[in-house]
Amino acid sequence: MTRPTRRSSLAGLLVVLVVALLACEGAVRSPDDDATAGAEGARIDADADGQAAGDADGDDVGGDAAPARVDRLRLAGGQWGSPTPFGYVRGPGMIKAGLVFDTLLWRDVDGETIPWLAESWEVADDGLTWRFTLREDARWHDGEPLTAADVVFSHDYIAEGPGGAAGVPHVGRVLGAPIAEVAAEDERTVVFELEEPMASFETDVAGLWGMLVIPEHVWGDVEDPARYRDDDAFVGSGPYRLVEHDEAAGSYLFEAHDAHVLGSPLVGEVAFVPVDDEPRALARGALDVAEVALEQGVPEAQVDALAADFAVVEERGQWNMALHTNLEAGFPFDERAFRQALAHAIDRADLVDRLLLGRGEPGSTGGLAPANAWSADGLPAYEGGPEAAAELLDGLGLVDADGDGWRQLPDGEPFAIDLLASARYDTRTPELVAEQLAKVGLAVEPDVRDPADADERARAGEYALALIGYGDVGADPDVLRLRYTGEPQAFSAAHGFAHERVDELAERQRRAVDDDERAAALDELQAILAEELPVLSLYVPSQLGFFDPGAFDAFAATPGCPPCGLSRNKLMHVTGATTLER
Amino acid sequence: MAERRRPAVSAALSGLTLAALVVLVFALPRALPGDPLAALDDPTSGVAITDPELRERVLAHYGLDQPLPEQFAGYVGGLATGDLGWSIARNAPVSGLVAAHLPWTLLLMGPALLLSTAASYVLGILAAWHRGRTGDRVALVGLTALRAIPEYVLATLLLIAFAVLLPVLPVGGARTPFAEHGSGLAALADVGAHLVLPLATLTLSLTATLFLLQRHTVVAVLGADHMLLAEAKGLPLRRRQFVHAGRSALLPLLTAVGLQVAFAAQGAVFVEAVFAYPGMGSLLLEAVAARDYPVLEGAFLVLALVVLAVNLLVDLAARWVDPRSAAS
Repeated sequence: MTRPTRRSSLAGLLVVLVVALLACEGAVRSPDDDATAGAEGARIDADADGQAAGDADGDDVGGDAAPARVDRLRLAGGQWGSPTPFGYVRGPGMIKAGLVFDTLLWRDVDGETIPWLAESWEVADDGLTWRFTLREDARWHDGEPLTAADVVFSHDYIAEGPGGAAGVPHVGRVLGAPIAEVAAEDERTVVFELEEPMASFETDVAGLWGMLVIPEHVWGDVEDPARYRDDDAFVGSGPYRLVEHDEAAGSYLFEAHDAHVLGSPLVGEVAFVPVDDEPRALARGALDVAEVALEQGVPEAQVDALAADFAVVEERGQWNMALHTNLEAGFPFDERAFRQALAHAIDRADLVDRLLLGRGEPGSTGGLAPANAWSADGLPAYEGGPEAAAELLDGLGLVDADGDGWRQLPDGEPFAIDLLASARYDTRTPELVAEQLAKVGLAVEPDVRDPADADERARAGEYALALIGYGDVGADPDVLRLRYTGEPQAFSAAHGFAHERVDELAERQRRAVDDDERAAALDELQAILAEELPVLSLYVPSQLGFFDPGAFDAFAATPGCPPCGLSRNKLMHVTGATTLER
Repeated sequence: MAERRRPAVSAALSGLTLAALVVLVFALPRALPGDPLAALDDPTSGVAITDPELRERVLAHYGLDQPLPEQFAGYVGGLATGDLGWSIARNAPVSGLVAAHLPWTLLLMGPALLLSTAASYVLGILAAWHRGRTGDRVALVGLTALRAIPEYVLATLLLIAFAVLLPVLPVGGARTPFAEHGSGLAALADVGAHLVLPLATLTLSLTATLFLLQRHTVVAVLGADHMLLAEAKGLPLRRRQFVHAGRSALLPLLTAVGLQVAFAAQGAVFVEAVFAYPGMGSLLLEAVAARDYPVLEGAFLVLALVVLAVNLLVDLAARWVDPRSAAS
C-alpha cells in the first residue's frame, strides 16, 4: 500500500526538478544567470555573455591612451522614478535623469566646474550677471537644435509655469535661487540676472545640482509635467537615451547618444540592474562595480573577501553621522560646556576603527566633511577624553552625589538621556556612544526607531540627543546656513541653536562674490560652530568600491555629489576619464 | 427562500467589508508616526525640503494640507472615478504601480494556492489512510515542523540552499534584466526559473497548514458508513481514497483554502521581500518605509479586493462541490 505513495512523490519531485532545470537552461544568454551559475565568489568573465565589457584591459583610462569602448557598464539599480526632468525621484533619480538631460555646466572628480552644454561662461564683477555661451553643435535627441531659448524656457517653466509644482530636487533649487530674469541674447548666449549674488550659483543652478535643460518644443504644451510620460518626455540633449525602464523591478537601460556635444560616449550602454546586495551581486557577476555602505555595518570578512578578488577604490567620504543636541531641551543641553563635555567623552577615532573598520575619519567639529574644500583648518578636536569631560560636567553641577556611578542633576534628580537613532544605519553606533558616555557617568539609553519615525522626530526636534546621518557635509558649504540658521525644516537641521554672528556670516558667505571673501566668512563660521557644538560630526566613512578592472576602471568620487558615488558621474561614462581633459 | 436570500446577504456583507476596508486603508497609514514628505528627503545625498514655502506647496500638491475629513472625501472621490492617487515616494501613478506589481503577486499566489491545495488533498488522504505508519509520521512531523517555520525563514533557507550553496537558481527578481532571449519560450523559462524558489516557499508554507486539516478530516471520515459500504462493494482502492473519502473531506478543505487566501497574500509579502520579487509585497514594504499614503491606500485596497474575490470564488466552488452548503 505504501509503494504507490512513494512512487508518486518521487515522480512529483522529478517533475519539479526537471522543470527547474529546464527553466535554468532557457536563460543562459543573460548576464544575471551566467553569474548565478558561477557564484563561488569567482571573478566574472565579463565578456562571456558578450554583453558586459569591451576590451579595456590594460588601458589606463585616466592617462593619455585613448580608452577602448565599453559595451555595457552594469551599476546597481533601484526604484528612483522615471528619468524625465520631473518624474525622477531624489538624488539617485536625478543622476539617471541627468544621463538624458544635460545642465549648462558639470563637475569633474577634482570638484572643478567644467563646461558641458555651455562651452564657456562668465560672471560680472558684482556677481549679479551670469552669461553662458552654448556649444555650437548642441542638438536634442530628435535632431532639433538646442538654443538659448530652450534654456530660458527651462527656467521660466519652473519659475512661472507648471514645472514649479513638481517635488524634484532641481526644481527646489531653481525656485530657491534669487534669479530676477533669464534672457537669450542670441541663439547661443543666455544671461541670468540675479537679485543678489549667489555663491553656489554654478552648482545649484547652472551645474551638477542645477536646472536640467528641457526642449521647449516638447514641454511647451505640457500642463502636468510630473505625470507626463509620453515618448517625447525622454527627449533630452544628454549623452544617453532611455531604452528600457522596468518600474516594478527598478531596472533602467540607457544607450549612448552618439551625437552628443562631447562626442560619442565611451560606455555604449549604462545598465542599472536591480540587486539585493551590491557586493554579493558583484561576486556573482551581476554588476561591474559594488559600492559598500560602511555606515550600515559591513562585516570585515566581506570587505577582505572582496579586496582579495577585485580592485579597490577608496576615497574620502562626504556623508557623516552626527550627534545633534537640541538646545530647546533645556538644562544641561543648552550649556556649551555640556556639549563640549560630550565631545571630549566620545572617542571618535575609536568609532572609526570599530564601526568603519578604520575606513573613514572623525568628522570636523566645524560641520563640514574634512575632505570638503571649504572645511576650516585648526579647529578644536576635543580629544581630552573622560578626564576633560568629567571636569566640565562637574563644573555644571552634574555630579554623582549618591555614589551609584551615574551623575545626577544639580538638584539631585536622576539624569537619564534618550539617544534617538534610526534603524537605517548600523545600530552599534548608538550603543557605542552610550557606552562611551557611561564612562563619564552619563546614563544614555539608545532609542532606535524605524527610519521614517526617526526622521520625523529629527525634523520636528522631538529629542534631546539624536544621531542623525546625512550626506551634505561634502556639498556646497551653503548647507551650513540651511542647517544652523532660520526655522529648522529638514531632518538634518540643528534645533534650538540661534546665534547672531552665525546668521550674519551665513548670509555673507551666501552672497560672497569671490572665493577669498567666502572662505573668510566660512572659516569664522566654522570656528563658532566648533566652539558651540550644537552638532558634533562623529565620523565620515570612506566611499569604498570594488570592481573588475577588466570591464571598466574609471571610478572615482565626485566632491559634493554623494549620489554620484564612485561610478555614476556621467563624465566618466562619456569620456572614460575622471577629468574632462584626458 | 433561503437559497435566494443568501447571495444578497453575502453581497451586503462584502459591501460592508469593502466600506470598512476603505476607511481602514485611509486611517491606518496616517496613524503611523512619520511624515509622508520625508520620502522626498534624501539622507544619503543630503537633499531635503528646506524651504517652508516649497514644503507648503508640495503638501498642497498632494492634498495633505487639508483637514482629514476633506482628505478622506478626496480619496473616496478619487476611488469613485478609478483614480488611486499619485505616489509621493515613487513619483508615479498608484494605479500604474499596482499594475506593474500585481501580476507578479498573482503569479506567485495563484499557483501557490492551487499547488498547496492539490498537494494537501492528496497527501492528506494518503497520510490518513496509512495513519500511524512511517510515511504518515514523517509527513505529520515534517509538515508540522514546516508550519512552525515563518515564511521568511523558510525563504532564507531555500535561498541559501539553492541559490548560494547549490547555485542552480537565480537569487532575486522576477526575470533577468535586459536579457535577450532567443524565443518566447526562453523568456518564459527565465520567469519560471525566478519563480521556483518563491513559489516553493509559499506553497510549502500553505501546504503545511492545509495538510493537517485534510488528514484530520479524512481520518474522521474513514469509519463512516459509506466508506464501509464502498469497501464491501469491492470498489477499487484509489476510488475509495480519492472519490469517497476525498470528496467528503473536500468541503472543509475548500473552506480552509478560503481562509488561507489572506495568509497567502501576507506570506507573499514576506517571501517577495526575501527574493526581491517585484510584487505587491515589495511595493507595500517600501510604501510603509516611506509613509507613502497614496500607495499604502491603493495597494492595500487592491490586495484586499483580490483576497475578497478569491474568497468569493472559493465560496462558489464550495456550492458547486456541495449544493447543501448553498441551502444551509
